[in-house]
Amino acid sequence: MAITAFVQTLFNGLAIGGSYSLIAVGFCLVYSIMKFTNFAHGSMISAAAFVSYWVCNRFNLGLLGSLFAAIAAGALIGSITEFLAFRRIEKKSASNFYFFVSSLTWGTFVEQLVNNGVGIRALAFPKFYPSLSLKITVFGTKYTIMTNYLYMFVSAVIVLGLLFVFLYKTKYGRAIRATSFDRDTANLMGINVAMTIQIVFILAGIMAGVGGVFLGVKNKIYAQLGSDVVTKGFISSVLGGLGSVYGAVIGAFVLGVVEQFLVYFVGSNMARVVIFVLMLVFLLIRPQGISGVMVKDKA
Amino acid sequence: MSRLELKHVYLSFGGVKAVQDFSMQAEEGQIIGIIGPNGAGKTTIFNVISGIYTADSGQIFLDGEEITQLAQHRIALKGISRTFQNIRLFHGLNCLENVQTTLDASSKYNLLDAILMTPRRRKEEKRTRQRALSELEWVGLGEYVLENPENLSYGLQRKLEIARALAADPKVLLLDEPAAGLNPKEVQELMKLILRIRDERGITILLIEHRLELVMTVSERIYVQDFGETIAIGTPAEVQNNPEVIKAYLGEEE
Repeated sequence: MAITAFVQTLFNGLAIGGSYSLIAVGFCLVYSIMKFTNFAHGSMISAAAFVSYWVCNRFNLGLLGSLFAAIAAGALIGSITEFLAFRRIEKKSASNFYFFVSSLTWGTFVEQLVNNGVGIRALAFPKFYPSLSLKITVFGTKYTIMTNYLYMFVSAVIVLGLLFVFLYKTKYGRAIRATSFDRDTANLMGINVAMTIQIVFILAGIMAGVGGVFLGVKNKIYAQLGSDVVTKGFISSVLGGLGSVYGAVIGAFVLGVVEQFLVYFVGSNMARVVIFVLMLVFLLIRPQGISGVMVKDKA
Repeated sequence: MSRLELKHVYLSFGGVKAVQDFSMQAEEGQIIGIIGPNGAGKTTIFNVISGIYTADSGQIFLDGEEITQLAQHRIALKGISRTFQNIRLFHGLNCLENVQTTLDASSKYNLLDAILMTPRRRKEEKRTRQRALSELEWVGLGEYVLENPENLSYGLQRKLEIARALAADPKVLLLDEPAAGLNPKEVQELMKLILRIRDERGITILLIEHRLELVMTVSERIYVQDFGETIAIGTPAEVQNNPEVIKAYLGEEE
């Protein structure tokens, strides 16, 4: 493998990993605080991307405008999801099975709405970039990288950076971390648990929105856009160690890079098979993930 | 008017009468001990006071204001803080952040300030941080500020839980078996800390404890519970010589 190809593949992997990380972290935050798997996460990605597409076309927005539209849409969809699909079940502290059914039902419903909105053919965002790829010269070697990947990577890093500041430097972040560890004690310390859960869904929605725009640019917009990539988000957060935000980020980048190298060596069709085989093997060998946190599901 | 007053509090779980007709008064700066065998309903009394359970009947007053029906976070804000029998610190948050969680309820900045990182967030974060730091230093945890609680010894974790409770500036502090699992030296330190809380801050302390050397030394008055009922009330000396108490502790003689 030539050095040029190696660097380009690595970069592509990191860029794709960036989009996975946005999905994985949102998924992981929800999992940590609710202790259940939100199967509606994918639908939030599709819905936010679709709304962003609609607003972008309506008002002739560029990439930045579309991203802000997606952030607003994601925040709104996240909070609606929590309110309509989970809050009542949460209040009754019902069994995990109800969360499972409720998240699947809600996710399918939202996906269907997007499906009706999109129509028969997948939609494409307008051309955001003057050129599809960029040529960059580093140390005398020329590299070609996809413009969309560059923006995807940079945005993911910025969003993750802001998220970590929020989680570690504000009282809301502390509340999220404390509530994720022990909800009853958090409540007793005067933390507003209901509001904290709502904030987590909003954050997850925002990240789903940002990820959705770039994936929309990459793959076009269709109803199953989210559910096609959300598996990668799930895998990333398990790879990193379920319940650990750091782990989810690391897992996502590892997954992105491994996937791109597989595509390079065995082609994209085989890569799809091999990546899941690797994942299964990894789960058997090290179910606690890279970061080593083993989370027990709600009984 | 007493600082904390419980009047004829009852609570049952199904057929189990966990608390029966419990009444007590505690004045400002008093240390009240609650002792009794396991299952006597001691922790249940704390849970009723702090609002985790609501009493079936009876009333609870803080400075004359009834708090019987309030939600637990409201009671915490009114000025009743507690620690737990099995330490309940937030893992993944360092010592400083653990104490800060208590102060966050009074931190005056909103979500928009947090997202936009406004000066108001900065100012309030600095304030709660300083306050948390001074609480940690006050209990003697100054050198463990950035350590995560799960890495601390049992004795230090107890102190951290107390610091977290004190950060709320409580009027009443409920300590649920704070000496459990501590070595004799740590018990001595805890005793000093409890007395300092009373003497320097005037906080009323309710103390559930099995280590009699601790509870007998610091308490002004002791309530002895057995099967949900109060079987004796008195000074440590009175309680120790009470035949009912001896019977509950040592069992009936053949």
